[in-house]
Amino acid sequence: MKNTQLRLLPEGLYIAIGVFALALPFLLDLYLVHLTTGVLVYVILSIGLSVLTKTGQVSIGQAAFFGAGAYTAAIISKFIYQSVLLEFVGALVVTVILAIFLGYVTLRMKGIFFSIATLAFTESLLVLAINERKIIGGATGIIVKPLFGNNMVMIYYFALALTLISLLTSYIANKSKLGYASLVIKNDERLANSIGINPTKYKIAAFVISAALSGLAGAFYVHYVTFIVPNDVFNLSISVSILAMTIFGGAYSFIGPVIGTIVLKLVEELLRQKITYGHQIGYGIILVITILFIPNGLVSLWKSRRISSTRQANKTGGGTL
Amino acid sequence: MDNLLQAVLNGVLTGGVYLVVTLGIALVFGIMRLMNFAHGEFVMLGAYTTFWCFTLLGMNPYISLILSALVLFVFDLIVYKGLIEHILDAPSINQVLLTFGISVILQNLALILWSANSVALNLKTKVIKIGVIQAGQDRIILFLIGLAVTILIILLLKKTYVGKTMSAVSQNRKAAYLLGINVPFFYLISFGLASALAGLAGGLVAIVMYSSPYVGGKLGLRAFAILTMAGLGNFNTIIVASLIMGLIESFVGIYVPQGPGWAEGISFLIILVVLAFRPAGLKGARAE
Repeated sequence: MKNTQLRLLPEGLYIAIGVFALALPFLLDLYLVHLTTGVLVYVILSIGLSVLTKTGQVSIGQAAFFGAGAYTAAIISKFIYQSVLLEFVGALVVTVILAIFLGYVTLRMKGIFFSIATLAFTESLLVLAINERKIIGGATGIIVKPLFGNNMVMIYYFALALTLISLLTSYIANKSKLGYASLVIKNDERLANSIGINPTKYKIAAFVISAALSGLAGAFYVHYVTFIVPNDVFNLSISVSILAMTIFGGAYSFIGPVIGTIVLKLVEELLRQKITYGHQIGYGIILVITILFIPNGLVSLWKSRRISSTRQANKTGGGTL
Repeated sequence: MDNLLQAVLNGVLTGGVYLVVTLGIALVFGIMRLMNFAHGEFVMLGAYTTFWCFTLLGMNPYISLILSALVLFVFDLIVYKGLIEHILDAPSINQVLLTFGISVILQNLALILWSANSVALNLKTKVIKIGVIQAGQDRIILFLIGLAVTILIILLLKKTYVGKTMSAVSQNRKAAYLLGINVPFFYLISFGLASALAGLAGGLVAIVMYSSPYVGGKLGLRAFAILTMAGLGNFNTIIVASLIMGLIESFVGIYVPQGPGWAEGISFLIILVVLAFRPAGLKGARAE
């Protein structure tokens, strides 16, 4: 099973994509390189979310960790010391602590409390950020310096490196005991318990990894846009689009979230020139249609053709229709 | 002291609105084991139904309450048949995602159709004074309507054949099938009933609060906090938990600087504190 997930695309295609990603700044003009960098932020967020969805849990509040990472980086750079490394470490530490705390309280319970709590978490951080005027400037926010003296090509490569780190994290997590435990927990929590897997422990571990990757994305994002205001990061619409991208691509696969994000971001950018308002409704519609018709996402279409086994699809899959 | 009494009254009256919102979610979860993230948006649609009936047709708000319940009943049965019915057997992650997706669609549809501005009915109502405290007549009447409907539903669930069948279906679906109970039909009824409640709640919201595309999300969050307090499947406790929620908000609004702005944070704090210390709800009944 693990192998089929990774061998989903032939190795040659992986290499081709890698080469294209590296050569991209030489092929496209600077504006498009800048846009692609923005897409990579969402790719990292989706990869992070997919580590969690593999356990059968879903967070509606990834924006909370995205924002927490962004604000941590901004606060460190403004008040403590201007060091990118320190900012990223700080963002990781803060998001990990938040996730351990929230996960410990809500993931012990069976069922939907977790999703509800993550939803409420985003809203409360938003309120907190808007009302805290002394340190983080309330609704006016904080201004941050761009990375690498605003050299867009360097920034792109930096984002690409972060994306690679996220992919590696997801790969290692999936190959480790967490990956196997997730598969069991997602399909049958009682079975997991009976074969000595502690579901709560692994669910928290997956949640922490997913939060840390979101924090990483946030710390980068704040330098990418060079300023931060509460509504820009602690925004439900960010959580919604990440959810739609991850589910659409394939929330239970390795490469699905990446494909889903790139495809939907591309469509969003193309449509943005025609429709300026209400693209969130599109993400809602994609979420609903994907769950109803291809609950395992785009990659499951590919997979079922390759393995041509409905039993496989049912086993890995969430949805029974 | 006057402030305190007034805060108590305001809190109780607001809690009455939360009660009707929460009851709909609890009903669907209690019987169908489905957490409906779109329920808040159904309430929002109910609020707009009442608002437009009043503004365009000049309809009496009390009559539009009934109409709004009917409109939501019909609308939600279409949503149920078209979308939700297909994922009843699916893992809970798919149920969360589908109902959440529906809520995103409805909220953004409302934004596109009616803009982000809040609208209110601004009824001229008699103010009733009891000693030093006071409240609008409408708010009191609507509170009583909400409470009466809630008690009626709880009695329906506890005392009648329909209610007993519903609880049989919720306890063991397969056994209920074997006994010859038409389970899909009872699911349909339960969902329809919850939807009518959403319409009614929306009417209350439109009259005593305001209508806005975001009001559903705000109310949904409070309802989740109330459900966490009450413990899932505890219908009686929901009444108390709703009043507590209304009271907490009312006190924070008066005694904390910039109080009203913190309302969303309060819901989260309640969820977190209750889950941390009394995971099965305040009453502490065993719930899975």
